[in-house]
Amino acid sequence: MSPQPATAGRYAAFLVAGRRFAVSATDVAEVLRDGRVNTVPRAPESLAGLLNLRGRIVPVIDLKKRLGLAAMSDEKEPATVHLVLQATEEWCSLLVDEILDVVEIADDAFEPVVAQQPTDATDATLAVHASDDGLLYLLDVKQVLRPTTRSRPSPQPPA
Amino acid sequence: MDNREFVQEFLVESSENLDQLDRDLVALEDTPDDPDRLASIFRTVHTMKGTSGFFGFSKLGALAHSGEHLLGRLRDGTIRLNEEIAGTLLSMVDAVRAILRNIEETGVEGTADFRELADAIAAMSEGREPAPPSDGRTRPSGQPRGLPAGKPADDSGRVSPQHFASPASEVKVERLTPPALAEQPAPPPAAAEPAADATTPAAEQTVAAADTPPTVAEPPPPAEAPDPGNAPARPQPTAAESSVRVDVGLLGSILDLVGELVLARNQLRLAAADVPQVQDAVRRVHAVTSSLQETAMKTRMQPIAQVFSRFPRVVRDLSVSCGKDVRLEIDGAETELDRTLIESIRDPLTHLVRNAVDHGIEPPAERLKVGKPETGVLSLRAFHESGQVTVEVRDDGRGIPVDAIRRKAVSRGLIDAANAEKLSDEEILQYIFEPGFSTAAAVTDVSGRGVGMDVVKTNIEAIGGTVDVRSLPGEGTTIRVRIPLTLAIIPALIVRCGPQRLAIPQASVCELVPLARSAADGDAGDRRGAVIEGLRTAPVIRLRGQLLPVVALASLLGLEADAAAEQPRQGGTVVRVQVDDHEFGVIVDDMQSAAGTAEAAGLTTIVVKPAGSLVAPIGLYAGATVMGDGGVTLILDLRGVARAADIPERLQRVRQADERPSPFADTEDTSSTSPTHDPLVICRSRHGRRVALPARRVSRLERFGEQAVEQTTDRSVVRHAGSFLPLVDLDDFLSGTAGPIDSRSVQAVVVHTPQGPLGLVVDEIVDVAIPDAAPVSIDALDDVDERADGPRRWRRSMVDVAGQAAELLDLLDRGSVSNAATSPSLAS
Repeated sequence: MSPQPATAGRYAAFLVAGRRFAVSATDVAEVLRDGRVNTVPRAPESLAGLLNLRGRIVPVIDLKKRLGLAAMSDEKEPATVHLVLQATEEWCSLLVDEILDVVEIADDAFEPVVAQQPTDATDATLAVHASDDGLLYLLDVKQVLRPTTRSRPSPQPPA
Repeated sequence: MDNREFVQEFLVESSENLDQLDRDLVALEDTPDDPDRLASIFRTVHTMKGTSGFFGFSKLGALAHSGEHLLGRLRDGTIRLNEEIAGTLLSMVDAVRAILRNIEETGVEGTADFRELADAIAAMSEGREPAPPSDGRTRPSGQPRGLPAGKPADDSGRVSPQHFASPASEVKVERLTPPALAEQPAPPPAAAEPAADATTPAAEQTVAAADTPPTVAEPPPPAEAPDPGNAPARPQPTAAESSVRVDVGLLGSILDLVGELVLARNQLRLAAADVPQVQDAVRRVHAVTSSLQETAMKTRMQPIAQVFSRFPRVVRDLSVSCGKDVRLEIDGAETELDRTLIESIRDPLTHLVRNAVDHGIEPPAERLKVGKPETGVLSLRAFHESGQVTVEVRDDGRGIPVDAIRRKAVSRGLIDAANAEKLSDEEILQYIFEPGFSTAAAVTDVSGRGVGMDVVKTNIEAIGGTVDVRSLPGEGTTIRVRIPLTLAIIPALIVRCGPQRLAIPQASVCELVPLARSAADGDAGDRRGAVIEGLRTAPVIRLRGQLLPVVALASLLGLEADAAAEQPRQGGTVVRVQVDDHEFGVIVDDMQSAAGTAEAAGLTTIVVKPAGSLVAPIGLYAGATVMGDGGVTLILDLRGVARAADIPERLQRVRQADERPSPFADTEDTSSTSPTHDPLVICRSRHGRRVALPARRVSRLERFGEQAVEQTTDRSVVRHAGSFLPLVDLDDFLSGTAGPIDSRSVQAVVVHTPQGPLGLVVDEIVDVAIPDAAPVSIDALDDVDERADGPRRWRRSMVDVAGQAAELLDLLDRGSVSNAATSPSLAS
């Protein structure tokens, strides 16, 4: 995932809350339009639930919530497109608003993310690429799979 | 060797056979005359000999042959098995194993020399002690048994090539056949000449020969032979043909694909519902898919016997070398778990077993001194518990010296002395899992070098398991290893709780208790279901006179609105479960049938899959499973549920109270006046009085049958727990005229008094409830009622419970109850 000089990678771009994000195209296992997600009570807010992908149980991450972008979203409808990733040994599915395209980006066309104030979104972003269509954030999938470190009220079982 | 595949099969088969031999030989030591077992051992060795001859492994063949000969003599009863012979035979098994290892690694038998061992075996066949080298007998030098396996050949020139290096089997046969054999029927020719077997195409021929030696009059061993390991069916000689090695990953993907097929089938059934022409085909697809799924699931599971089966040998060898007398008891060897987990627990369990023999169980003399039987018992138990496999290694030895561990922990600086004193024994025991922690006085070659328990813990935790130690000085140690059922297949109860479908591992489920639809139903008796009582934060149900803490799953999981949680719950089911030593109830809405299967509602077999790193930290789920309809269902981790709902503490309060007066108490027993929120047992006396007794004074509610009640001239008693419990009618008690009760079948409220328990006979237990308001003392009335001849025996007050007034009886006031009821002059 870390950019190497003088080479280019293919990236799958997608929209979340109006922002453009991308993951390495080789990490994408498949795209599902209508997965049945079973919710997990008491799970962190960003975990939308679990998806049965041909017998494999895949956690579904609500990217909008995971990246703290829910408030900024114009979309009334919750995201329903599953971008199933095989980036790590444990597969995961990211709920995104819309799949855009597979784009080729030179490694040196990425720039580090500089944030005055780190947020969930910047924490989970590896790099940023300024394209003609605007900024494209490269997601750190491993980080996305980790529970967020920022405090956010999440329901706890009663003691 | 070009027939590598066959050799591979031979190796697999032989290694199975050797494990079987280990078990059989150890078992044979206990029952030396068991003809079936002897015959089985004989056949196994014979088969091995024949097959090794087929592949030209002459050394192996010769060794097996000498063993076979000795076994033949045992079988014929010419000589009898003793510890020495068993040891020699086990050494032979080790030697064979060493040769096989060599074959596996290098393709050849290797240079190890087992001549001395063979000589020892030969000597034993003749019924004499193995001769020392200086022995002037005709036989060449015999050596004492117990030779190290895989001992490299010494090149002193004593190796005579014709012993083992030569395929000329006739030579060995002659050398190793003692004269006494002449009296016995000779082994079948095919067996005596392994080289000749090379001409027979398959091993079965040898097998056939083995099954019909003239001296074998016994039937083949029954399948259910008393095998301590409860091992899988005795490996048949054709083991190599009945099993194949398959990549586990391949099995996994088959399982996943079958899961897909199940979903497709379910869709097909829906789609085809209106098409009569395909109904038959759909039904068949349904049936086939179901059994396919079942079969595919089974491929991953293997009995824990695979690990257990080696322990009889381990324990036997160890106890001999430590001079201990140990009996190994194995239970639950058929418990299945994922084969990858079986591999992972092999070493940790071996370590625990060795520890138990070496450190736990005392030498026989020491055991006799402390009044224990000479033979120590090491028990290995495996069972499914709440979605996990528990393996218990228990010994009845000297236990772990807690104080020594406390001292050691302090001296190693793991804890300071003041804190060490504060820790409970149980907490102190945890230090044995610290790296490099050993208290063994003597470092033996078996265990005690301080490496061990930390490695055991690390290995078990690496597969998501836990290790738990309990020890009582002088009484023994129990170590429980719990392994998660990742990938295991378990029966589970599928329940619905709000919108959620959840699986509860059936192994933890004790019973299902329906809840009353309304409080009125509950009042009408237990027929229509239990009623939830107690405080909202600590609800209980009454079950056969005992209170069971219950967990409202919906509120634990946050599945109901707060407003709903405030409402008293009506309807639904309590699933009574047990995890560890905790018993509690889980309130669910109802049972669900597993969609797409024909199984009975609620109960189904599920494949446990990890729910992932995001779900695990929640601490309430042990995994997830894919249901027949394709949905994902979470599996409740009851241990986590108990933790989240404070069950251990709630139970502890109940239990502590039980040791003192009552299991009902959930408050501090501060004074004899009942606090407002103290639950009350409300009963109706036979004369219709409504009487409330503080629940914390009540030890239990019990119905005594006709046979139980015994009458004396002036009172009634029931036999209970080795003593007599006096029974007094509540009305009589209140009026101070206690006498024998007339009815023979009675409902009693057993209350605790400082002088012991007392059974108050009532007409009916009405309820257990929290009073609506503080009791109002009616002492003033008492003063009026008090008769000159009777001392006041209780303090009465009036209390409102469930909207009705009741007489509240505080039994312990002035302790006078005991005088009235339990003193010998009961009727006075």
